[in-house]
Amino acid sequence: MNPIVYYDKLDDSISELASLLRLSSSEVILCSYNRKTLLDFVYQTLKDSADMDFYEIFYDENVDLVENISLIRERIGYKFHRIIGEISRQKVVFSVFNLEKAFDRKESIDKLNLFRDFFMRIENSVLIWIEDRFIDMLSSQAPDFWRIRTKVFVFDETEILNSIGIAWCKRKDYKQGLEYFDNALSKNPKDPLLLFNKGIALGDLTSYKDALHYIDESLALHEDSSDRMGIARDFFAKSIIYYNLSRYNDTKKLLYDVVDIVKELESSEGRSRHTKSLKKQIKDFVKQIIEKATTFSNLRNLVEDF
Amino acid sequence: MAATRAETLNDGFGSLSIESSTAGFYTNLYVKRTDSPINNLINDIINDPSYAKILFSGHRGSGKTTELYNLQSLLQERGFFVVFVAAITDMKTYDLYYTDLLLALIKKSIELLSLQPMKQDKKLRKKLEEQLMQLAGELVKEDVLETKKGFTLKAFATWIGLFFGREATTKTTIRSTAEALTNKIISTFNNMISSVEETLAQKIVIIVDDLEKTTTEDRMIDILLNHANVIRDLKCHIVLTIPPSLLYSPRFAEVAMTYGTTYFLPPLLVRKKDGSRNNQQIGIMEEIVRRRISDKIISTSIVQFAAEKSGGLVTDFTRMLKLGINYASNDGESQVSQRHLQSAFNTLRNEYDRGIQGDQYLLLENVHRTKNGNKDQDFRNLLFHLRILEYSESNLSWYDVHPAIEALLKQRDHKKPL
Repeated sequence: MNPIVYYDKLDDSISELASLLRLSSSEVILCSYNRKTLLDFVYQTLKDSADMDFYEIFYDENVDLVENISLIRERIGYKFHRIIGEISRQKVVFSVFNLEKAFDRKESIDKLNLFRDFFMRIENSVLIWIEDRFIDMLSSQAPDFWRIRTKVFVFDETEILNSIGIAWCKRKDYKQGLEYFDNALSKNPKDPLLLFNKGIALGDLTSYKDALHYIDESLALHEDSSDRMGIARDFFAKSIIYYNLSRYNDTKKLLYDVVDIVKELESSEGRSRHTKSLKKQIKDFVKQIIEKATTFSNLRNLVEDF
Repeated sequence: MAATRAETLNDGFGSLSIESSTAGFYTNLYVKRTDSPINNLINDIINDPSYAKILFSGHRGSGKTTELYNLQSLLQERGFFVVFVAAITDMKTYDLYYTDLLLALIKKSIELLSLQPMKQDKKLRKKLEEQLMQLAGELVKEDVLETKKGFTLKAFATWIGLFFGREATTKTTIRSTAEALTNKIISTFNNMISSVEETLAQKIVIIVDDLEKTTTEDRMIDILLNHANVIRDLKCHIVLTIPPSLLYSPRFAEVAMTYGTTYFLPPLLVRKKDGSRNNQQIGIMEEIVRRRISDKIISTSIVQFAAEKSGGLVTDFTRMLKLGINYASNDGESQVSQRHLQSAFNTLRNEYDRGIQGDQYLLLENVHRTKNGNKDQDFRNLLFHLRILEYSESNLSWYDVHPAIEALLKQRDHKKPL
């Protein structure tokens, strides 16, 4: 049994971005990435997650920045979008791609400052997708434009590879999933999130000894950084592996520990989607094991008021 | 605009996006700042026997535009007629020349002709229109000659508007023509202004906001110094915005001597020089939120935390609150918690870290420790990009790093080998 939900950090960012788009009506949001070939995956995940109409605008490298902004203005000004939005009753969001071409053309990026008011007054939110290496230049060369951003969402390569790995694992193709986790780990070997997910995938493949090794590595890193949520996830993962190895006392002990941590987190920091999600996973797991073995019956009290 | 306070995260988020240019803003949402130099600025205008030329500066996000709109409304209450020029919107140029400013003023003066009292005095209006059309005839050359027959005053105003968006070569040609006609443009503008003042029985004040965003610091100095006579010759009160980094330019002493007082709008002094909290100024920031959002969504302690961490910059303050609201909403909660606001501050901290070179941290550490500034390029650059903020306390200036930078300095300190 392995009811663990893989931990997808990209999903966190996408969920936060989708929530921001739901709240906002005219925000300028920057989305940075460091590997263009992975951008489609992120964008598609966002579109699947947010219930909105997305319109793409591509920076035209054949004309200058000012002309491009005029084209953006023209596209956004189309009544067509509003009509479609009214019919579908969905928010309309514009995505601007390829702004980096302006940097390639060595354009004076400071011109963007002039369009601050234009971007601020658009009646829709605008996502500007741009390679991460240009973000610093944008902040220093177009400070007025930079000031109107609501947030910069950074879509890191390893997070995307991790997310693709999870997608494969969800299709039960653990081998492919592990390939993606390993690829990401080759770039960032000390990422507890990747080690955790690799451990979960190995658990799914019933390689429990290897699974424990990776979860323990993740746990050590989480302990180093005092990441209580990470520690809670690691404990829960270990408790399941112990269950699968029929080490029931260890399972129970870790479940008590993880419940304590989650309670402590909620009392000190308040509830979060992470604590809520982990609580649900723990409750589901406990419910299943209580039905299977009487030794776990006293766990009923543990999760009752949890 | 509703004066009711938001009771949901969704409404709270939207209420923080309302701009100072929105109708009803000053009635319902504006919070008076005790540290604003606006009243002194008004006194300068009232007491100047000729025409005051005033420079106004402040960090990005410190609330300059809000205070300038407030200035507009206070001057109107005192019987002045105010022309507000939003440089970015009205001029759309990133390489401003002094002639561009003159053309923008001519365009504004054409708009004054459509005021009801001006329309009524047909004789005067005709005379002024003739003067403007004569100027148009000399300024607008070959490119519209063919259509000159149907070239009206309205078309002239449109032509000026379009000028700002033209390609560089055409702009240069028009600028040279305008340069040669500088005296004529000024006298036409002055005639217009004095006629309007006489007809309305009101003195005119022109406020040019965001001027500093339309050109480089060097070009700004060129306009203010090398063409100071042009600005001086305009027969109306003028308030011009300049970037704060200009105040530390080696040439600023010359600029200051040429103009009247330069006013600086500091960030709100949320923390005093000795590091203690300034509850009075934090209270002003709190009031900005309380006019919009109920404490059911964001508690007082969280608003105060955001105020302190914003360094007194209103835009950073509202941005952090908006991000906090989003974190709460994403968690499925109905109230912003301390953790949500801490996450918002972490975002701000990470974004302030961008673009800082390793050796600049030494300078930042030094400023944080000594609270002193200098005129080095690096210092001015960091000031320009808000990594360093200038505060004013009992009319004395001092400096500190933005709280986001302070957090980064602490982080770096922890990582240093013992």
